[in-house]
Amino acid sequence: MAVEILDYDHARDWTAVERIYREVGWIEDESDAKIAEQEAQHRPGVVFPIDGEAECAVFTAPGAMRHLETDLDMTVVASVTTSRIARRLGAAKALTAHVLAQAAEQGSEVAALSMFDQGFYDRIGFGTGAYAARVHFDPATLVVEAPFRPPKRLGAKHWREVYGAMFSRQRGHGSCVLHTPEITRAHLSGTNYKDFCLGFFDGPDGALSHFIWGEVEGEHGPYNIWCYAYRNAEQLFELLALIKSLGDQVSSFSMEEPPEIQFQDLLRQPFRQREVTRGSKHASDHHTVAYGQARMLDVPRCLAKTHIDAADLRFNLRLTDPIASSLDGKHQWQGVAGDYVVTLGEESAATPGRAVGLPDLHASVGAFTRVWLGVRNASSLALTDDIQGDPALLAELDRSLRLPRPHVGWPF
Amino acid sequence: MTVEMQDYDHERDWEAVKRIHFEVGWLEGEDDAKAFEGLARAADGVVFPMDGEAECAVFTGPGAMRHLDADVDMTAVLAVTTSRVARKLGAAKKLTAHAVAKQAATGSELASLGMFDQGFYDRLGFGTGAYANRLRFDPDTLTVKRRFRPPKRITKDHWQDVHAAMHARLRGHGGSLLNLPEIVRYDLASIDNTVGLGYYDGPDGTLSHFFWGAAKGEHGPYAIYYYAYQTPDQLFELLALIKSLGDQVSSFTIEEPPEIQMQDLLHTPFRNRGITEGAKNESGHLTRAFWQARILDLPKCLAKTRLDAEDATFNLKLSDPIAEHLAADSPWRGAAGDYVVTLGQQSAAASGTAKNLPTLTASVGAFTRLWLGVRNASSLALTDDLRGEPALLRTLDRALRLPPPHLGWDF
Repeated sequence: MAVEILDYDHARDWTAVERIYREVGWIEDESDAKIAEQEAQHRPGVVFPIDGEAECAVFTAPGAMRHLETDLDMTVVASVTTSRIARRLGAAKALTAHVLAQAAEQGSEVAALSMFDQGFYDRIGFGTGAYAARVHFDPATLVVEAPFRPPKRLGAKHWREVYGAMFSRQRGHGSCVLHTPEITRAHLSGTNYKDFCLGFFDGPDGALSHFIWGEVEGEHGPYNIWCYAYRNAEQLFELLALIKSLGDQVSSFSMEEPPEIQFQDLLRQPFRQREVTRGSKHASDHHTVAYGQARMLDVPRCLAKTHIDAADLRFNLRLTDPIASSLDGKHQWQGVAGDYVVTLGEESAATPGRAVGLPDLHASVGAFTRVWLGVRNASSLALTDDIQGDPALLAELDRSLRLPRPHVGWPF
Repeated sequence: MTVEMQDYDHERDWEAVKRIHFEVGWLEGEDDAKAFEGLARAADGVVFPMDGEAECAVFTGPGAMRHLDADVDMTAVLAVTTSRVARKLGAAKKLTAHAVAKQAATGSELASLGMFDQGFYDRLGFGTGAYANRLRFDPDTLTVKRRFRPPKRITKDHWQDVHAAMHARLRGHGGSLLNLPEIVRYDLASIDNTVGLGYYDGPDGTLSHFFWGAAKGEHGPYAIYYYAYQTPDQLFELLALIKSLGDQVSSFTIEEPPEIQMQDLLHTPFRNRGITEGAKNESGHLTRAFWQARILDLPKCLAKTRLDAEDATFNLKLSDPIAEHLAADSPWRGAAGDYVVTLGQQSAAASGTAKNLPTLTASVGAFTRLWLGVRNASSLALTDDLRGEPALLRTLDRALRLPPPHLGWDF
């Protein structure tokens, strides 16, 4: 069955897309529906119709991803959903490939997404990101001594402030921002008594500078923080002190580990806590998962924004890209497969072609994206991913690309 | 109460030390008691007696830890146990300080241990190591395509083979060795229902790659505690072997090898987490930093430090809390002092202070973490006892871009 692709038309498609979301369990009540509709209105999207009704939908959002200290234009694949009657038709893959081609043609340099599982998006060139750690802990065991002030409550009306704080937060390698504030508005519009959002307005002109935002379960928690921001370490520690202050009542919090710290350092008797809470809904522990994926859309532009504190390393790169087989012939962009001469260093570059006398690296775009982001080094990825080169070249790449672990820091 | 210390005397102290180890749950039967007796004989021990019987005991053993490509002489604190009648007397702290000082005085450059919890050993200058990931997964979901051969069974009787294979294994930054084979003998004896499989492809038919752990029932979980390989190809043969047991065994747990992101090798890992949530064989990925280390001899550690970076030179003002727990006549008083440190291809630490250099102030535990690459200087300045001008911290961040240290030997 040919997969017809139409641009999303809210008036025409929303009812069908809402049905898809209910079928896949993304919408469970009217609050969810309200959030989803607001998001759909503000995101570019495409749909696959059967009998005139959307049965598969893909939405994207523009943003940026930081590589060391430089931002790259990024497209986030924000949602990919297929209804119960349109499975196994290749629609999700075709639609996702289509939006990536559109994004690339409009100048996007890299794409990212949160995967439902590992494997599916590999087929259109994505590579798995770095591990992120989620810490579950008793706030009373935080050893933070920093002072804190009474925070301000935040709610739906503060969506601009929350978005602004996320955008202005302290960001390191791999961190992402989205350029659509309405997505934050949609999420905050659903806040109710089960949400908590607390923060401080210490930014320029009294802007929101640092906050935590999450969901609450009952009197004693868990309190699950899924979004937070700060502009400096002092603000991070004020947020942690604020969390600690709730320890009289709340038995556990969970949050993603900030990239700047080894969170275990800040917990009193973490191993004892693990033992005494084992099996409880408040169990203290530390789970790791790599849930994000990314892929380059424009290799020369990605490399042009790569500034590495290392001596120049040059090699021939033969890049494969599986996305072409999921694209129809209508797109000018057919992926990034090809031969490149790559220079990694303070001023990096990738130019089409081959140079005599340089070592060769063969890689899929997903594997090369992982090396370039520093998810794992080249020698490691040669064992588990689609990348091959002489050991000497792999060792040189290991030395050149000693990067901090990339950390997204924005749930999408 | 004064804490008297005596060198461990096996004839005199064994029965009391055995009683301590039964009291704290480290020994549960005569088989593992016998194996631990062998370790107690071989290791260097010190005890605290009350009414003539040991009520606290500390054992150490020699080993090595790799810093990039160089091995650093290491003392492993193998066991620190206090009986039910000698708690809160400060005995464990005093004995551990004494045992560490004794090894430092005879040339050990670094000390390491597996902590019972975070905080206690900080008082003796230890700093927490890097996170290690322990995965539980359904072996049937491994995507490893490699072929494997029928392995040989590894039993408690193969402890010397296992020890030799651990010594000959592929080691990266942080990879540690323990010199006493009796440690392996004790570990292998301490579990009743074991699973051990391996291959003898080493020189002269020695054990080259294997895994060993605890089996539970027909369907597992199987928990792997020891594994070793000399090449990535051997690692993948072990993984293929694990996969082959997937017809019967529902889950394995294993510490993630440092060379790979193991999630890469699992088929639909998120689906498996979801469908096994709350189950005995739940798939997941837990992280913890379970070990600690501390520098004993800073100049010797730095002399073995070879970084692929431009030289960074600074004054280091190092504090060390261990001195207050040492006897007045201890020949080694810790590593506290002022040093001029150079980090680079040829690193060094010399006593003294140089003019016009930036100053880093740190506890020995925090500096050990920095030197090992557990976290960078800017990070440790937030959570540990390490301070310096931001420019110096950034210079150190650049100089010490190391792989995460991975012990590969849980002790």
